[in-house]
Amino acid sequence: MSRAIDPAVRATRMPLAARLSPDQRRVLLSYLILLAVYAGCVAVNREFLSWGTMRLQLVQATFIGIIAIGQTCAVLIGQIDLSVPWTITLSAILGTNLAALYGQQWVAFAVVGAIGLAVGLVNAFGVFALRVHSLIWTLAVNLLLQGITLLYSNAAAPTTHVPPIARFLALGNPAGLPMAFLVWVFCSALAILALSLLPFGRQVYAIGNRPAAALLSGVRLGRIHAIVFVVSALGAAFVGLLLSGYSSQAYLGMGNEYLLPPIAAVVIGGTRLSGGEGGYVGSIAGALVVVLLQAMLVTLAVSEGAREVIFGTILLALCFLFLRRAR
Amino acid sequence: MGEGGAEAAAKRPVLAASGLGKRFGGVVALQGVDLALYPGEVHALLGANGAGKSTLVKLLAGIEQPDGGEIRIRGEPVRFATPHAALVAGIATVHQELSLFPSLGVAANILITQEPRRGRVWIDGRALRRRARALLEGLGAGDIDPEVPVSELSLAQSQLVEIAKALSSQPGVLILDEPTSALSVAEVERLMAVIERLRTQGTAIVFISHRLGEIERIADRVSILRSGEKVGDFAPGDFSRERALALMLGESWQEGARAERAAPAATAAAPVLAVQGLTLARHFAEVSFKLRPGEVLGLGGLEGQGHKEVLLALFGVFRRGLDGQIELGGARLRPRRPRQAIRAGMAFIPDDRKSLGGFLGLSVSENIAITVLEGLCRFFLLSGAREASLVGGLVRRLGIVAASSRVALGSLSGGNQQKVVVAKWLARRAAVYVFCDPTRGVDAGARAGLFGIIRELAAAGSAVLFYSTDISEFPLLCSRVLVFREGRISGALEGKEVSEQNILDLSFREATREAA
Repeated sequence: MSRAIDPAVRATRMPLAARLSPDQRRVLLSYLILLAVYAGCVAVNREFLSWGTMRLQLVQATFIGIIAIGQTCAVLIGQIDLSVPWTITLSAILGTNLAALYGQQWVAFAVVGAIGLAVGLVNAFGVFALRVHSLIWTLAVNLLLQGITLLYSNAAAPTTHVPPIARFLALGNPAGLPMAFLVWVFCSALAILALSLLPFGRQVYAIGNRPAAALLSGVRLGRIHAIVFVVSALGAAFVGLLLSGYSSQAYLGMGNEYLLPPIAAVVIGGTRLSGGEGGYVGSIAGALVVVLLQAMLVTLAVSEGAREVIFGTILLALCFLFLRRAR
Repeated sequence: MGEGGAEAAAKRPVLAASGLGKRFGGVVALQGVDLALYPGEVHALLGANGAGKSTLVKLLAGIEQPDGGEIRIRGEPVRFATPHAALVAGIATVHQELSLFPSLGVAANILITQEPRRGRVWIDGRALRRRARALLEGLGAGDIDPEVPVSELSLAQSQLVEIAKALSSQPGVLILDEPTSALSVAEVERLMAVIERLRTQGTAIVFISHRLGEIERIADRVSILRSGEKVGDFAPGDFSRERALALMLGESWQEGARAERAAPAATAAAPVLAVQGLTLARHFAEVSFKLRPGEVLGLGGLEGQGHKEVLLALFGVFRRGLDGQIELGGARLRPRRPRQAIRAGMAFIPDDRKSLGGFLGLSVSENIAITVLEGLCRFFLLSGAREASLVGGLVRRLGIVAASSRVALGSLSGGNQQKVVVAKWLARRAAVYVFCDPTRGVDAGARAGLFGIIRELAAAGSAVLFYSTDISEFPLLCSRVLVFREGRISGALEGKEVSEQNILDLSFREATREAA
């Protein structure tokens, strides 16, 4: 089954939804939701028609979208990664600090790589080798990372110096296009390619479908788990670096808002929470939906509390739409 | 055939279905099926896998809703939105896959959601056990302790618990979907007695089985399904085996007859697999044998004698505790996970194609390609052309019937699913094929197809290890059979000695020294 088919192209060629595979229908639904949400945004505020506003949304969606790559893979193998928030924060604080200390920009990238690898392997170890449920294990790892971050930031004064490359990646604007968005496009292409055309992708779907049958077919479950959790942690760590460039600082708790939105993006994107079905094409729409909803609520003149309540309710409703179909 | 037939026919049917139809997407699963169930009668449904038996059961049990036709209960038209609605209307179903809670007690399972209460809130434990015991005794299963967790029961006992659970709502119709497929001979006897008893109590019973002997014995009426349509039925007293087979299999009847052919002969080539002193605590001990290319070696015996575990161990399912030596293709093998066994040239076709053999949610193509992903790559990317040519070739070679190789495996009939599970190993060209009870729940036509494949593999020089819970299959297929008893080889049979009688003899006899 080809999961990477652009649903828009599909829809024009085959107007009948009945002729699409269930997979394609789910992706189509995600993009229809995206259209509806965007129309809602425009109805609430004409500003959403302007490129300036949309550029901001694309940058925001980049942060959620890149995290959603790893999260999509994790959900596809029937797991979840809840260690994202403090992976982001630790990577941002440690990355900016060490880069400032050594006066070298690449140090920040080395930190991203090291944290991604370490957190991912620890997650895979607990979930696969120790067979702890990923919900528990990755949440515990998140807490652990929070502790480590606090210990570190108590010992070392935080720097206000952010590597210029991080600022360029988050805020740059080559040829009128936001650099962050270009980075996202690149990462998305890699993710879609990996899931649809690499043996890795096939094995991910096999594990999510039937772990026991995958084992008996010679799929390397340990290796796939490790890759998936490392990809997820690397994505989070990289977003940490982007966020430090975006806000020109790294601070405690900066990753806290990035736990639920990427998971919501994955679900709205049509990936089944029990694994084995879905893909990243839908998650892209999901990330945009989540960001547009947040932006739309900001433009409405309501208190922050009310905003959160409305946002939560809409997310629940959208997730319900997909979870109901999955039964 | 049952005696109550004529008397019952005069009665009104408790359930009458007419013109039932069901489509799944573009596939017609059931079309224009009529069915009348009379109280105190056993109505057997016969048909090849994919004939529509399961779909019919699902419609009657409220799991799926019919697209056409209607169901009447005692003359009243009904529609079941949920399985619970069907249960309330008096239709209880015991599915092939049991639906018990392993860690709960027998009584708690039987009366789940209808526990007797004290003061409308608290579960009355004593009344719960009393009612559960009464239901079990009604089935002649008073020996099952209501307090013991279901996980400690044998499969046959669990099934009786499941039937007791179904009877707790005092249904007018009881549907038994392949209740005997996993039972031993003695256990089948007991189940038959239970069915007789329920019949005299006036329950209408739907009985599904692939075993004609059982149907001859217990059924009052028989309906035959093929390709989603009812192609014939038998009134009480006029069942005929030949006509039933002909109706059931249609053109593949020929193929069914071909399965009953002599076993391929052994060859004199050097062994491809040599096992010496293989031991796994609590499962088997001191198992030694040699397997030559072109040979089909059977591992026979009663169930639970350790022979199935030998096959699992060879395939690397047990990580620890395995002693002894395995040589595959001249090299030492110490498989700790299936991947190692696969790389060494082994293939494994398990009994449960739904949870172990295949991925029902993935496409036929993805199912077959999973064992050879690296080989299908060009510049690290999966090549669609290579995959299509590999899969296309295997689909043609095995005669797999599917709308396309892109449809989900789950949409295929059982026999075709089993063929896909075999195809994924043919893609690897393994040296040793392990068939671990591959015909469980497979109909006669599909079984003949599978046997044909096994013979072809052997003729082409592969070595085959074959295990089955159906002893009658060994003489059809195997040139040599090792009979297991209590984890050890109790004897070996070769050539003409391979017969059901000899296998049974060895299964019960003391272990001897003649092991290969």
